[in-house]
Amino acid sequence: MHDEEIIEGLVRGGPQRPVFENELYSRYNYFINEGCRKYNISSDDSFSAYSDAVLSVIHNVLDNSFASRSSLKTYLFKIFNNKCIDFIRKKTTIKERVNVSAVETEMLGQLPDNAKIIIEKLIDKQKMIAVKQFLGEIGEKCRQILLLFQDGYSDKEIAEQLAYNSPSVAKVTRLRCLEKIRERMQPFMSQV
Amino acid sequence: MPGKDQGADATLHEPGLSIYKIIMSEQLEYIESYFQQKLTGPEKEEFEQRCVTDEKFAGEVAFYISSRSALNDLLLEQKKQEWSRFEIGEEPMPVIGQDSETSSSRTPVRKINERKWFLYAAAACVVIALIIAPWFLSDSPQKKAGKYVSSSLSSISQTMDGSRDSLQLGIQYYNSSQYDKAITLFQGVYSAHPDNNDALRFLGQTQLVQKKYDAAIISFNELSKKQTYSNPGVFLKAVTLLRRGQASDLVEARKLLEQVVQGNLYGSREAAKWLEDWSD
Repeated sequence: MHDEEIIEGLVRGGPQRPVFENELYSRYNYFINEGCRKYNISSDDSFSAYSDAVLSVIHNVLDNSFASRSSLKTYLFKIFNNKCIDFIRKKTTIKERVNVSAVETEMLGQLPDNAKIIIEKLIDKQKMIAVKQFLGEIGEKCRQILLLFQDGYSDKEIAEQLAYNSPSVAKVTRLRCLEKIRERMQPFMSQV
Repeated sequence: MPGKDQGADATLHEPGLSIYKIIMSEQLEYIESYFQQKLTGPEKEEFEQRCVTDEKFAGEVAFYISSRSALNDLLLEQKKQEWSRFEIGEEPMPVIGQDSETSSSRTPVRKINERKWFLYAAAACVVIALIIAPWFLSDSPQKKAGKYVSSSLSSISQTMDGSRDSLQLGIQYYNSSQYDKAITLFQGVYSAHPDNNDALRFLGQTQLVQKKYDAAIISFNELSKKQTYSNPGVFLKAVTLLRRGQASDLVEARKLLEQVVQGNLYGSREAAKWLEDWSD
């Protein structure tokens, strides 16, 4: 199977998308052993870095950040190496702010520097832990819809997969689910 | 960014929802629109201004980012659980185009045989590589430059302090191959701070990796004029010329490499080696 077919399968989305995700994952999972050897990390850690890299590649393909200048293999290998380096950096530094997720970095990166500094200060580890905890309290359906959105599925696809009447209904439901977490976060928010 | 298409306008004004909930949901929708780059220029500016002047609103934006980040962690855990089945042999490797019944007929034994076959193939490759090694040793300067770009310019080291100013963010984009975004940030930093040689160097480097050779040459030309210790501009310009490969590029690249060696500039070790093997 060519790169183009995997990319098309991912972009086409729908219920078949996981098949192409799994194809991408399993095609290069021998990188995990290379990660262990090259960076002297455990196979579990290398597996985590590889999974994280595959997820990044999938999302970059979906949002057109992957411009096919290199092969998927080269692209994935490069991101995987960087994830391994990030992992080692997180382990070897005591500075808390190094432990920042790629999503957080990317979203903050969209803000101008003056706004970014303010928002960055408001994101602390305690609140992140609380958000994660509340994600476990909002019910399976809510968690599912939020995870599908985070995984790059459109509201249209979510409506089809979860049998909502329309993309609008899926969107409203999704925002209400987020609002549920927001309500639970109220005591933390007032600590700003 | 995930969440590519929101399609129709959502209607949040339904009976039974408290005013507070409506306001909050609309606020979350507004924040989401910003990060999906759906706001117009003035709306975007207003949003960014509110982040600076309205602390409560800034808190909501911080919440939105935190929740998306937490969701991504949870998503990664979910994917890891799914993919771990491939690692412990519970699941056969996926075969596209076959139905699940046919696909599941691939036994672990077959997988092991395939791996053995792969090992034999790898061993054969090593033998072949040893045989043709001398041929590789006589790489052309262009090939050497290509190898240099793919090996030495594949990533940029980041500082360990976790700071996320625009330069550091540009480096992160570079390291994750998001070159267009990296270029925007490096250009922005350099325009605002023309004394920031790193920004100029990284800008040229990104253009080089993107094969925008003409633009990269302009950047490295500018860099080579700067008063900086062990200026990398000259060597990187030579690498770019070798990659571009136009009629007079090879001659100019050679002159620059000689200049690098004589001045003991950045890249002098590579330059000396390349010149040593250079055949006219």
